[in-house]
Amino acid sequence: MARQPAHETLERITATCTAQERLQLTEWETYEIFRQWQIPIAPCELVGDPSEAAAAAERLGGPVAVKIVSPDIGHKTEAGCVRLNVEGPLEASAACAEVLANGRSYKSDARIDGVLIQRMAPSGVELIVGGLHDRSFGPVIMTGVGGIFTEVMKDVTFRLAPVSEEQALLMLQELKGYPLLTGVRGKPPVDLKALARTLVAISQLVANWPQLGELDLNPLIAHEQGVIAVDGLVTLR
Amino acid sequence: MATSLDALFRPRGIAVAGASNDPTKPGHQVLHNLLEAGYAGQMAVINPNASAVLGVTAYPDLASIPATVEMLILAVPAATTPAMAEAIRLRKLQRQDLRVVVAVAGGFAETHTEEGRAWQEQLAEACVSAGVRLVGPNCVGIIDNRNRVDTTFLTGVHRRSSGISLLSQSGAMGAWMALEWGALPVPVGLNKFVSLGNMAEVDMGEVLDYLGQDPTTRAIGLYVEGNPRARALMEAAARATLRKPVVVLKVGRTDQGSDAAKSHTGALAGADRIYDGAFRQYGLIRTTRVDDFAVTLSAFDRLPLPLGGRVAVLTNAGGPGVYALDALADHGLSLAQFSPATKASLRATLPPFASVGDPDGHVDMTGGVGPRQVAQAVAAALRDPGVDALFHIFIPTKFNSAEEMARELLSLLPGLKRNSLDKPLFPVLLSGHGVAQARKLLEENGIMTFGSPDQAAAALAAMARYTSARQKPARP
Repeated sequence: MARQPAHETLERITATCTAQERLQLTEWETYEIFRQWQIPIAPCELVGDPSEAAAAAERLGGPVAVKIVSPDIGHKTEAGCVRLNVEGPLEASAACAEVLANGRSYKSDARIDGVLIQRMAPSGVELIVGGLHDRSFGPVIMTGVGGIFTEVMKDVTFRLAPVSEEQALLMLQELKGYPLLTGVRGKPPVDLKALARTLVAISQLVANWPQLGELDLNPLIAHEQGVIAVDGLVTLR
Repeated sequence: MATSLDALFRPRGIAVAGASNDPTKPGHQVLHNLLEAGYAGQMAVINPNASAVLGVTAYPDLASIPATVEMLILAVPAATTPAMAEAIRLRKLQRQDLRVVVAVAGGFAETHTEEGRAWQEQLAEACVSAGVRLVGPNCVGIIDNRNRVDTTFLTGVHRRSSGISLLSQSGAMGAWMALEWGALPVPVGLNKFVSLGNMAEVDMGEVLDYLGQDPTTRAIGLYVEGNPRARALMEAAARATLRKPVVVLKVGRTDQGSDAAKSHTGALAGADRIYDGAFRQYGLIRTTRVDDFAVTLSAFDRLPLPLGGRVAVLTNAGGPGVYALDALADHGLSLAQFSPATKASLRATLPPFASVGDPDGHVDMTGGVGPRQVAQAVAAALRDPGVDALFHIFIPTKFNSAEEMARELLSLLPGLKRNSLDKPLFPVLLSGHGVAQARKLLEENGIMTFGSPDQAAAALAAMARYTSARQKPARP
């Protein structure tokens, strides 16, 4: 019986990491998996050099993020390997060169898989969606108010994975920050159905990935027309 | 499929190993409890050094007991396990009657010694091979007040039954609750009490399934600590909540996430937060206080479920009424909005200075209100479709004694029932000795009474949450 591509991708990437004796996936690997599991991500391309970066920026259109992809560079921002709001192919080319140079000076022997050129996400409400495998509970998902202060606000809620769309909506309604989703201060409501469906998709991924240790999707940006993942951090068990 | 747990609650024939004439020994207390409970089946004692204990015939071993023995209670030291294991095997071989062993004594795996673990494994293995269920070891055991079975060594057990069954992961916590509730001014009895100790074989999930299907259990109280089989337990709870409310008290609320976590998720994912999510997911009702636990279970047992959480508050004393409004807010309940017809009816019934609908849903009937007026006001408010539940706060005055008020209330309720008005009523009588007779009168006539607006609010909030959860079931 043919295995579904979604599971194949999961197995392949897990095997690669295991072979390379690392527990953390790169952002690109994470996005490959997200794509297979119906988790919307900001359009992006993996490029190898500044000229490819320029072409990619042209194709994607609008401001882009330029981020190094390397299994050996964990703190990309710290290493000077992330440039945001890069406008146009010329700037993209320069930014690509910059992050590659910074990457090499940060860690001279780092494996560089490439540079990610990613369309900047529209503004919206920042949520965090997480997953993990717990010894007593098995697969678990979490969602809540995201962003860099998520551990301070602690406005999150948990469920055993997988969840239904109905249950995903209930999770969101439990949050103190729920009014942000239904629209405050003149802002329009977000697409709650799309958000719930994405939570369901992420819960399916977590439930079907026994090698998963922890997953952070922070932020998942919810806006009027849908949701979009802008980062992904996956650690295997 | 293993033998069902019926024999745990309705055994035909019980033998107690370790019952002696020494009243300081637990075995003696176990036998005493069985007698006190009024167990109607055959009982036997296994004790080679006595001919009888508390009037019950003693035998040298399990094999020599002539009558049917479906339940064996082991109140003997863990070191006797090899002999007991053999006795169980032999009995099953010769008589085929043994169905459940309740091992009360400690000294097993909970000691974290090789010896203790080995004895536990040996006991479990002997039972499983013989097709006999094992409860414990190191357990308080079970009390079934309908079937008059008591395998525990607790003293002061309240023997009246109810629709509430309590399943406790901790023997001491379970005992605290069972004994305290039985000693309340209005005692709360239990249908079944179960505490499984080390859970070497029968575990909480299976008992939860059993209680979920037990027709005489109307509400389940669940006390949990950490549990390596948490998911299975939650899934069993999910099946039970389809049929009846499961109220859970869980400790360990300060469990933090892991410091070593790589992700925000890992740092935030303390065990208690995950439990909390699972409770919400599967419709369990969580309480955090033992006092709320009792009154909530009682309310589920005795009151009709509200259709929602809109409350009318009728009081004959201003201060406690305002206190009650705070209690409602604390528990996430809201005041009902009276219809104009209800307001008119209330104003017509009550004394001239009564305050109706300030705020909406709240009525200060004044201290001068008489018993008949109170009853009519309560009826009028209950008839309002915007009212899901009613708090009636009452203080005895010279215009209205507690007994008179209670009698008027009792006289109007059958009429309401005839009109299919099945809404939960929360009479809060304040306080102490002065209202004890009135509370007794109401309770004897099947009306649940409350000692404070806080208790009433805690109970109603739990019921409203359950109503709401039932409307959106989430199955595993």
